[in-house]
Amino acid sequence: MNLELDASIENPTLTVEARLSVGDETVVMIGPNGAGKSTLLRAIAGLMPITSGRLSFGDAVFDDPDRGVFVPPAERSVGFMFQDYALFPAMSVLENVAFGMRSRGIAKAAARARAHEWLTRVGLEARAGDRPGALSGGEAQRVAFARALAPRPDIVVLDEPFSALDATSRPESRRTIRALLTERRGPRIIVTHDPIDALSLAERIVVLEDGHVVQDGSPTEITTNPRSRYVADFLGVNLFRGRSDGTGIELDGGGVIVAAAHPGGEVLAVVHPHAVALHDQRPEGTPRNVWSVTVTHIDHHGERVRVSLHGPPDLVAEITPGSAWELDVRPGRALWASLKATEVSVSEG
Amino acid sequence: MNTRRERRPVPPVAITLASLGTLLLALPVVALLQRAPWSSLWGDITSASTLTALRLSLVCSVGAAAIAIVLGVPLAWVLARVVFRGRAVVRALVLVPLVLPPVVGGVALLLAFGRRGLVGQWLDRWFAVRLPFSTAGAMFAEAFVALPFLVLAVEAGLRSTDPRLDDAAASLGASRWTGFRRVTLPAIRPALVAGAALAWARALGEFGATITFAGNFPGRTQTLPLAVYQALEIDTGSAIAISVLLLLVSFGVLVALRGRWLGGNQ
Repeated sequence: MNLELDASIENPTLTVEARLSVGDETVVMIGPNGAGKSTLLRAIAGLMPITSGRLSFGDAVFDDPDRGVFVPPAERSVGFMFQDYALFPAMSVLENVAFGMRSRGIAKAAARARAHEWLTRVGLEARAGDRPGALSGGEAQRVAFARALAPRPDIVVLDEPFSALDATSRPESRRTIRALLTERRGPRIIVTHDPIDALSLAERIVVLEDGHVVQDGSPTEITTNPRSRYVADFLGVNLFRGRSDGTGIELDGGGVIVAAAHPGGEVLAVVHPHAVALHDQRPEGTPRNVWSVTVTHIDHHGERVRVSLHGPPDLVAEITPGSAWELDVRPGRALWASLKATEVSVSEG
Repeated sequence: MNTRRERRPVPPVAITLASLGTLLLALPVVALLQRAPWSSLWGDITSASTLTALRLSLVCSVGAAAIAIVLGVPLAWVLARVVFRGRAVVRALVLVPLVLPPVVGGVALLLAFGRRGLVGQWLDRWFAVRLPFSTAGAMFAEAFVALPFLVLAVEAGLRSTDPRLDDAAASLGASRWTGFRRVTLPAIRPALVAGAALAWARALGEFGATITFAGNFPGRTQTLPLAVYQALEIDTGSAIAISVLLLLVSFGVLVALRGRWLGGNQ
């Protein structure tokens, strides 16, 4: 069943006008602050009404102001994880997780049993009796996640699930959430501000700017062809999937990348285009990664030029118009690309 | 409670003024206790008329606190959570009984709910309800002066809780009422208890509005403060004895609540 949104939502500060269809997939929504991401999530959950248009899930119309239809949030089956979790302070962790099942009429014992099961899955069975105030940030995040998913909602919506975590606990949290999200069916929508979060979780990325969807596509489509300055800055990166053998990463699309550190197994490597240097001749010296490439496409973004290169590996470099002119960059031109190992960020993927 | 301790030397001016303030509060209590007719005290406060006034005081003040809770919590919720035209006006109205001299409040109540009053004439004609000079009227007058205490405390409590807790409850399938009962109410419980205690204490001590609106009829509207007022003209000793009783009742409640809700931890 698809979540279908074709609506405009008016806020005091912003009007969101979006058309979006989300099926059984994980969609990551990105966009600058105030672009309307949270507004969209709140409208989906019924926490704010749409102004005009229509919002439906499968055959069920959630919100259609023209026909006077508005299904209240309690009847929508949307698992909503709030940005700073909004855990109920006066309840135990277990009661928090059981709350959604209790409100949907599941008997107390069954609800508590399932809540226990969820706490075990997120590794917090020992904290069941504690109050949320006693939890660390990472623990609170996992409780909020378990609370949103435990009632088996049809739709899952996560508003900046990682924003309150420090950098060291993010990768593990990402793994946990991805594992638990992929085992379920139905639309899953995540809002994030972090490119690594976006690229490692998304099956599809939707970019929202000023209340409008400006780009919508697979992570590869969006990273290789960012359609706005914001997307280029945020996601206009080189994204490689591959297998690390401890010394280098064998890329799925061909070629090898050497990074400063290599976790074993399947990895996601991210390289910012401005880290890729282009040369006339094979560069001497320290760069660990040197490839012979051919220019396929050139994009001018103001004071920067994005140069698409065919390898292996295929990648994008970002250089100044001056050096583009010096190197005589044009489609078909053969060049050398180099990249320092320290510029490659690798995450288990 | 997050209290900052002052570590630098405390200025003498502050000490002096703080001591004077404490004296202002303490001296009347001391004087009252010092002049209390201890030998006849027990007899005075267990006399039939005093016990009647005590019972009436408790009934009316508890009833007034209950009215304040039933009407005040929804009012506070609306003020804290709903944006509507005229909210500033309603909020100002809530403050009126606080700043209005209670006697004026009593007169106003009489003009509104008296037998010829704005609403009172209809209450009388249609329902044969006559509030003035009845026990219900005394309770009503006390509720009028006590309501602001409850509304202000609960509204402050609501404002300091995250409104997204309501959203979270709703998205988890809870009806508005379930969300309020299971999430909001526990979160504001300290504010509600403090507000109810203050409202009750204000109702217990209420004098001006009660005597104006409900009169001073023993057994019907004569609460303890009114009994003190009457006794003062006849027998000072008995007036002091009833005052001591009132002091004990209020002080007892204060102590009972202190440890649990009124920030009793130093």
